[in-house]
Amino acid sequence: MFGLKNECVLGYEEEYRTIEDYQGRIVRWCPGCGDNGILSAVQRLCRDEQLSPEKTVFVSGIGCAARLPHYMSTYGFHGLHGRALVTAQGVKIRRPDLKVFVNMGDGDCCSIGTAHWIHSVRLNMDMVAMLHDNNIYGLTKNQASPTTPTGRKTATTPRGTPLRPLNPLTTTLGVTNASFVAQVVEWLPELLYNVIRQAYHHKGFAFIRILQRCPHFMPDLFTSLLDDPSRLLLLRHENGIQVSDAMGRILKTQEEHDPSDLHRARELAESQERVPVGILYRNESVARYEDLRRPARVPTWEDRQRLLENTFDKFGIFPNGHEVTTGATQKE
Amino acid sequence: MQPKKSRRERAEAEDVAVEAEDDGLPKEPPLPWQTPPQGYDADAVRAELLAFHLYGHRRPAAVPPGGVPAAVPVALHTHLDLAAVRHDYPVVATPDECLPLGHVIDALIARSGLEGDDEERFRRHVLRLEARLRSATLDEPGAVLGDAWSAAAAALAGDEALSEDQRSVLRDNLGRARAALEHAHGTLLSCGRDAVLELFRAELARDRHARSQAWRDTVAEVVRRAEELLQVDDDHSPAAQSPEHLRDATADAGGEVDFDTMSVLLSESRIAEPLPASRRERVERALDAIRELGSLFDPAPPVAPPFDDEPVRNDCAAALERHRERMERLVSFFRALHVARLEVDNRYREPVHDAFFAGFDARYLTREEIALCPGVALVLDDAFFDNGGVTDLLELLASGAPVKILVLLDDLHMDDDLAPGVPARLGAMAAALGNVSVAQAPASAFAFLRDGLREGLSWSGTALFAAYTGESAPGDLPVYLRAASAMDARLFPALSFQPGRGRRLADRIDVGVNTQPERDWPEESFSYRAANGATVEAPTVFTTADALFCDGRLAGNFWSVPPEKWHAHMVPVAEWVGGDAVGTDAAIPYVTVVDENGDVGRAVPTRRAAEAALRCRDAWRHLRETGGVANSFVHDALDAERTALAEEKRREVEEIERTYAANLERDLGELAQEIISRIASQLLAGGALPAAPAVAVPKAAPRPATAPAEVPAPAGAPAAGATETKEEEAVSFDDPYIDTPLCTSCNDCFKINTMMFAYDANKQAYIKDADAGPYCDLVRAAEICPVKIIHPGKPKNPDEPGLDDLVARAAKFN
Repeated sequence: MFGLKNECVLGYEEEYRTIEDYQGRIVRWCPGCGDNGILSAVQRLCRDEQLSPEKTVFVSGIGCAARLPHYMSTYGFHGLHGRALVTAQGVKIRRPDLKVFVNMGDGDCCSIGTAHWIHSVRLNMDMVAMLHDNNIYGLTKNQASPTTPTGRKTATTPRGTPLRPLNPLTTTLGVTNASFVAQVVEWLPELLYNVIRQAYHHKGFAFIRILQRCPHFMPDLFTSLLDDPSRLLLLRHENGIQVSDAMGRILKTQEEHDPSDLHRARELAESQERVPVGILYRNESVARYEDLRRPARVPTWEDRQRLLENTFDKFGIFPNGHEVTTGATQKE
Repeated sequence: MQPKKSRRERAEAEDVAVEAEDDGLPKEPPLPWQTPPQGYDADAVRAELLAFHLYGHRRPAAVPPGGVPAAVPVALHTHLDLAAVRHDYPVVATPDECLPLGHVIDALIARSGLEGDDEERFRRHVLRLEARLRSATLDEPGAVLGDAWSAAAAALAGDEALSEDQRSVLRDNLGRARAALEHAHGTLLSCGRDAVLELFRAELARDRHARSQAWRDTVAEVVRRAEELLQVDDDHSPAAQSPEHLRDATADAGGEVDFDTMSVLLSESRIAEPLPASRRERVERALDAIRELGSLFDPAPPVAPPFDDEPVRNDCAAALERHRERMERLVSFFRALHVARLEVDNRYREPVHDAFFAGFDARYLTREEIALCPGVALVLDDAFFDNGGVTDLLELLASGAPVKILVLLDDLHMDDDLAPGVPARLGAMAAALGNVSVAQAPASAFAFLRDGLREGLSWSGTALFAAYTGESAPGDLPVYLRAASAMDARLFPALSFQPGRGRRLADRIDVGVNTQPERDWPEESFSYRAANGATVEAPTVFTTADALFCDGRLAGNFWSVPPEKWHAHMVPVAEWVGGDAVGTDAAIPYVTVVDENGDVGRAVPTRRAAEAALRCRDAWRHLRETGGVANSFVHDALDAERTALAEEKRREVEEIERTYAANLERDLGELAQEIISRIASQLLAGGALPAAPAVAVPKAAPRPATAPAEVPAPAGAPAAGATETKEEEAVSFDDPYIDTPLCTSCNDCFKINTMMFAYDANKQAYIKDADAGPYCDLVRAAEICPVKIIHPGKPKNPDEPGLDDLVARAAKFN
């Protein structure tokens, strides 16, 4: 109205931030570690979205991947093993205005943190959860993780892992309220960035499984995929991933997959022939826990003070004759 | 204070109480309390409100001590900070141009020549400075752009929150922008009469220049040839052949030339006759007449323009007189031009043309010739209408003379019923004449006014540009909002009528630029916090009453009612106007306002102000229907078509049903006959009844396999891999390179040689300096790169140790 459009507001008081502005401490990962690529993609996202460092939080547990918050010049929380997600939930419920990212290894998420993982999917709180899946416990030097392939010899399985590995995709897709599930490989930067960016813009719990190389303990793990990109199945769709011509020439095996098709997403997640990369499932209509729990009335400072005083007065000891004004019970 | 649900909303809630879903929003009671406050007497309150609404009576005690906090209608409240929103003001005014500051800034950013992060940083810095300029111009308009720019840049650079690096980059960027700034000498003008006047002047200059362009080359050619004609005649005259003239005209060859003899020879060997005196005089007269308007065709703005560009002020007769004078000069000019043209072509015949040109007047001018003459500019302001000049103006509009009239209104000249006066309705009246170009809009609609000016100035007849500035309406609102609110309230709607666009009314008239033209008044939603702390979003309609509320002169027509005097019979003005309560005491209209404390309140208008909204709405409906919006003729035609189509459809369906019923009956009859005959034959044959024929059940169509599809290979290629291999083998690069988009930022190559490899803005590696290290660094980097995107190329130094081995190792990466 009045010839004015509120989307034309001039608001450029903040300085423009480059990728370097989001770089924290010096990176200590091994040369060739896939975490480097994930870090670059995340920093690029922060730059492109011009995220305020004071409004951005990276939460991690324990592992090589959990070093990521140290390498970001934002707020971060390097917490206990397996407890990254639940910490992130606490951040989000208390400060819904913050942008929350979670970085977990396959041990942190799929082993000790499984319970939190399941319920995080169900709560569907708005955050981006990245599973840095290198199929091994790297930080603690070569123990088998739930995603280690069958027959792999490790420090804890000298005769080879006996069990079939856990599939994080089928697990996530099987949980109620799953709203965003994606898989990507860290050695294709354009695709990795695309998926992380879409996850960022998704309103809800965005789970990304990132297949990541560990050059020290699992140097040959993804050799077959690196040498033969046709084993990767690119899932493209107008509501999913659209890639450049260059990426299309690398990933020749493609499928038009509607991310809203949960049934097909589950089929793709179980596929043994090819490794699907892209967005398997997306549903923007799933309710988010923080929205359901948002109070209809925002408590004022007076409300909070009154509540606290009422609570403390229940335990107060008052001298005789003292008049209690808050309705608490007088105790002698 | 909390705004209440409208009467309509309450009625709807009651009607659908059982069916409505709970949308999660708090349900506000119709009044700000569940139970009335102590002492609340609904009947007394209603009587008091009606007394004010119907008769304008208000008890002195109704006004609280200290007065009522200043308030604005809620729709305006969200737009008060004009400095933060990009709109058409301020404008940068130069003699030749008047354009929005935003356009100047955008052009500046587009010319920066920067890329990536540098470009984004530059853009943000310049936009930050633009916000400062807007804010400064609101406070003090009329500054020169260059000076204001420097002051704003200094203020930005002085921000203590910036680090030294940031300050340095900011200074560099703003300095670069200042160096590239065009129109630095222009004046920054905020919304108001000065801006409209400068726009008018700039467009007049532009129009004059465009008109003369069409004739510039033609006139120059005729003048040149006529001058040549005279020059040739001069060269053949005895005076030109005299020894003195020859000596002056010729470079002295050291006294070798005998000019006396040359003169004799030339005079004896004359090969041309001089021009007859009458002809020569005619050509000279024609040239003089052409040169009188000659400066009109200069590319640069003339110092002394042949036609006075300064508009006539408040005098229609003087404008007409000026037009007549211009036409006389134009006739003289083109008479001379035609004479000169005939003369240079040697086609002038005195017996014929003397008489013709003696009677040459305006009737002989073609449309293109008349177009050379810019229209007379006439500016009429409020004083003109206060002195009763409407009659003169109407006569001028009806004359069709190419006078370009700018009606500059600071006031709407409301009558006793608070309806806009005739000056504010001139646009519609002029459009009704059919041959007047009309552009009407408040000053806030800068782009619309500019486009209307351009069309009107190029129109061959009369043009009327009506602009409302809002400067005279007292109040605290910025002038821009005063003007814009008049348009949205339909007090001064925007209107364009261009006879030159076509013959159909649909081509000529345009009201679409008004906000939400399909509605009586524009509607938007606003959010507020209710008493219980919940955030509520409610619609608000910006009516004529809302705009009148902003006019300080009409303060006596509104009463900001405190919440304890609200009543359930209060309804928003838009609902009151659309209902049946007009002229009755069934409902009390109110305007939703927000005061300076941020509290939402209600202001009750008098009946006079409320009914002004009703009349304004009706006038707007008439205008918009004329403009083709919500046109009742169209609606009737559409309804008739729909009815006819529905009837046709119904007949078709009936026919099909009839046919089906007839066929069914026939088939049933035949089937019955068949059954009876079979039974009879079987009985006669003494056998069992035949078994029922087996009914073939078609199998379900198999589900197609959804195997992943490979991307098809390009047509003509035997095999993609083979083709790619051939292509790869055919292409080889001697220089090293990295497939940067595929880099995973693992730092491996970086650690080998930090001078040779570097990261770009996306933290992906590229070869910064291939000569910054030996060839072995390139080969090692290629081998160690986990994604194999480093291509070492060929070595440049043939003396490097171990080169053969390195080349062999590099081969698979090239």
